[in-house]
Amino acid sequence: MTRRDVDRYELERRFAPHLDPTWAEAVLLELRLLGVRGDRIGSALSEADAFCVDSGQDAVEAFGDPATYARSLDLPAEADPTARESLGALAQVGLDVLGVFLLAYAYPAWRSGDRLSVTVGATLTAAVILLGVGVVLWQGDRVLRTVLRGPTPARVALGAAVAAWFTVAVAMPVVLTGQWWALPALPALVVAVLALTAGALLSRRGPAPDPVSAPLVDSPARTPGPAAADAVARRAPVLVGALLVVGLTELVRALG
Amino acid sequence: MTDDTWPSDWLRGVLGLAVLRTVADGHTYGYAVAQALQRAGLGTVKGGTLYPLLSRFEQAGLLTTRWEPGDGGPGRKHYALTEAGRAQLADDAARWARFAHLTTGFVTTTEARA
Repeated sequence: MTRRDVDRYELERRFAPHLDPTWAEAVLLELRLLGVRGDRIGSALSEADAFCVDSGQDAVEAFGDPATYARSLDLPAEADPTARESLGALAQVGLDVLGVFLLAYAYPAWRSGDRLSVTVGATLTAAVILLGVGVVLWQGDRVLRTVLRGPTPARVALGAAVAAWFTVAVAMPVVLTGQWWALPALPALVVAVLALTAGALLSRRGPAPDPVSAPLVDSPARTPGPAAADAVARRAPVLVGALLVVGLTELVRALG
Repeated sequence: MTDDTWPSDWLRGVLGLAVLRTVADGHTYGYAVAQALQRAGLGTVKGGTLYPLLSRFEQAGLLTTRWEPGDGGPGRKHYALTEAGRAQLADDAARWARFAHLTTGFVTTTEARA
């Protein structure tokens, strides 16, 4: 057993130390995908573990295929986000993406005293990005299943779709340079900052943690870090994006 | 006829009721239930069959559960009948008895009654 195996199956070994960790992992994964709460997942794994210890059977002998077994338990799905939470997540990501995107165009324009040229390509790219995000948030479950367990043709098709989406998103501003609108840069910059701020406010309430747990199984004490550090970590991609925009613009101006 | 040769569709019909009976008798955790069923002559019940039943009964409010530390081994989840579970058991057992009596009489007659 390599160190990587130990780390990868840490949860499985904690709740079902006597079971084949790959079997336990498959059960855990299937239950997560079904939206089952963490405490019920831990309980199911611990029970399976105890049965195999008592009976002397291994997991496959006693319970069969792990995903089929997980589904047969018919545990209630309570971890699914509500429609409101999904919309909130979509709104937050949408605001972040739009904010950084707009910042990338508005900041250099503002610094050089130009108007912000809104091209057809840039607008379509923003729409394509939002569409991609929307699809993942709406069908995330199904996408994840296909990636993890789907038949090869489905995975290839999904990979091709992602590649096509990415190519379109990147290529369009380069290809479709026709300007359809010119904005004063400063108001656009203000809108970008407002969008990022709104995204930050929406992200303050992250999803409630739902760790796998079970009675009688010790879990490492969770020492919650300072809330500020947590919030910064969640906003890191956006902060990095914004800093890159500002930094690169200034660098180009300094060199130019 | 030995234990393990009961047709599986017969067992499927009675297993839920048998599990409730077994829990009522005080065999309260999964493996103990499976052993009790085997001793009773109902054959070997796999974990993959038993636990979905227990889970369904728990969610239907027929069983309550509590965890007990194992003696040197993993903790075990123990089941007990609720009031609703006891009522269901009594009701189903009575109906099963009538059903079994009826079907026994029917299938063991040597000629069909007119």
